[in-house]
Amino acid sequence: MVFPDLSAPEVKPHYPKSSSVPVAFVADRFIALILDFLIFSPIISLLIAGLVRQTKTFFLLDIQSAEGVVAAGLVCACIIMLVIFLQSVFLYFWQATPGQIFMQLRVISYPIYQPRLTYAQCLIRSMCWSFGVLLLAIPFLEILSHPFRRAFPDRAADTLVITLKKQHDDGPMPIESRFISSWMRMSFLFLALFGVLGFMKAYHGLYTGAYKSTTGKIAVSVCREIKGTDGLDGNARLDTALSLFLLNEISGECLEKEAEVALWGDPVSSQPLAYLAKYLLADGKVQEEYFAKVCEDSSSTTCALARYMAEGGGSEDLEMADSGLLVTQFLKSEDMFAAQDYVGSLKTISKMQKNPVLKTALEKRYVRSVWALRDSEFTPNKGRMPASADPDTWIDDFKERYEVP
Amino acid sequence: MIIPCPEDFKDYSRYPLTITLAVLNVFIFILIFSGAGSNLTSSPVLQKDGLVLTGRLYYQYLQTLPAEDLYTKPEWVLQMGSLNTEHMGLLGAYALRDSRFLEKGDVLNYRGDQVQVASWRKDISEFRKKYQEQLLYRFGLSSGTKGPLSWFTYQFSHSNWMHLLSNLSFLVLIGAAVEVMAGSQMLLIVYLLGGCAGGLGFLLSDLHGTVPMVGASASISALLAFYCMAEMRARVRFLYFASPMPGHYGAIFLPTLLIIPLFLVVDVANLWATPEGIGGGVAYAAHIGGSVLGAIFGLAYRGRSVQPASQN
Repeated sequence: MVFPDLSAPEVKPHYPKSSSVPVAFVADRFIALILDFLIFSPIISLLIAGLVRQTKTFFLLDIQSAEGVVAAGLVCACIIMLVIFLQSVFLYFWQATPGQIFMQLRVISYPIYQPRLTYAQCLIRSMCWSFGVLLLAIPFLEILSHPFRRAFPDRAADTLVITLKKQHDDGPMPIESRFISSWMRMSFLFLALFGVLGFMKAYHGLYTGAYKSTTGKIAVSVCREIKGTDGLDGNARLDTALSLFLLNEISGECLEKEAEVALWGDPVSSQPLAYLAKYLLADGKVQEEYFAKVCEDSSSTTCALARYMAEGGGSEDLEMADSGLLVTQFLKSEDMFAAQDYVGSLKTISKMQKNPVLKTALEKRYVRSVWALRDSEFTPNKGRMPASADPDTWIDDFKERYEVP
Repeated sequence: MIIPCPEDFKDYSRYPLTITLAVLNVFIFILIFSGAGSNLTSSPVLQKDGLVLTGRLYYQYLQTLPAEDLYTKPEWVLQMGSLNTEHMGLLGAYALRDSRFLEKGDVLNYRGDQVQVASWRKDISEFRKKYQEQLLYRFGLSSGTKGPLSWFTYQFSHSNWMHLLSNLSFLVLIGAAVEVMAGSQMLLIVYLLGGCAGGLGFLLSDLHGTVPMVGASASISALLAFYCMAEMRARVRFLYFASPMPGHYGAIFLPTLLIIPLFLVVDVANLWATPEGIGGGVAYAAHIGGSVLGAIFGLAYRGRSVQPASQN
């Protein structure tokens, strides 16, 4: 084994004077790059058109589509692979890309001269070139600072871009070279800084659930303000929604959504109640139209409810309404409360509170009725109270429920 | 930016028809936009709720179509969910482009909110009336029932200033080159027939569309393809501009064939990459139709001009 002679002087790369090498002008290389972009981009667009179309379709159907993200990733991968392939093929057969051919530039093997580039050189140069683009083209700044205008892809592949023109570039001035080099280092530093920050943000997002599956967030029309109605559908769901709306527990927009689902869903369900909901939400002429729609059959129970809700509606209309509906029961309880039949109101509320969705929502009404019942005991006119009703039982129940001494 | 720019461009007397065509385009543009606006954009059908409602009705309309008609619709249309309001909005926008739905959609029976449906029937018939009254619709080419004149009027109509200016810049550059090379008569033939071929391409790609196509771009594509084929071996001057720095702008002589990837392949790629039924605002199929005719005429012209030379 022969050891290197450590006493020998340090080996330094030897750069011949740039005037002896026909180095290509930076402007020519830039124009060649633009021409390459103009020539390659339509070809690549054409080759990946089907995949792009599919990706667009995924995002059209769902803006947060996981399939779309994968497809977009594939599009990017395809673009990079095609650029590498096209560039390396052109370099291997013509020693230049199309833009370089038009600008009279050639890529030669350097520092060891070869009649033509090997495919490995072409491939390495193209891959490094693509990598440089992914790094926001910062490595290409070296073209401005290197004495032979050799950026990282050229040095990695042992190549040099020369011009066939009579005049050639003399390379940068030393001060220019130093300035660009320091600028490039600073750019890399900033890129690394942003990269680290991005990584940390992504890492944090991963633990805080920012990337959780968004399958449940599709813009389906069902209102999400109503909780605990998973088992309910059709009439029962809309009935609950109407009751909650009258209790001011859900917004008008939420009820509108529920009515829309009922009317436009497939199959159509609970139309009368949906029209009643629409009637409640509409105003002016549209409200009249919805009223007419609800009361197409004037003897229907829903029409009776609508008449009751309309100005001038009386208790007789409420009696005609379907007593099985929660909304009818709620209106009856309100009617009884207004007529100072607090025990009757409490009975109805208690019955409705067996429905878990309405339990909390009706609690205020329950307290209000108990409070009114207690007050009525201290007043001479006790209000309307059936003989069978025992107000003390309700008050005791209330004390027990709220642990009042 | 890089555009082909033939030499001898300063001699205006050599391409009088190109100038005439450009002036005609400007004149018709002013004629179209000098009239009162139609207030079409304020139509309830085009508002968000209106589009969702139209989508819901179109969803039901699709269910009434026979299978063979249904499968002519874009794939994404068949994947829409009736309870997804975003999907219904998209479907509504697509529905307004379907001439068959627009024609008879308001007389069909629909389930759903009948009060909304009744109001929609009125709105859609008003929208249809206003839409068809638009001068741009009457001048433009679409599958709607119109006279044969629209095949030519659309070639001189433009939708906005940017559309007009971009088309005119190319018309003047390429029209001048073609007129100097082949004469005014050939320019007129390629312009008009290229436009008709573009129209045919557009109608074949959008058989039942209502959105009218306007613009001279199909005719310009025909002129580009004609020039490209007729001067296949020649090098033509291209003007480039990358930045105002020295060496970053100027003229470069490139093969005429470079026009194909620069302008024509882009159209094919864009046509394939756009999901069917999504109007991107550019009629790529029309460009391709015009290009095909221009290429055929260019090859014929080249053959005819080479033949006498070889006989001599």
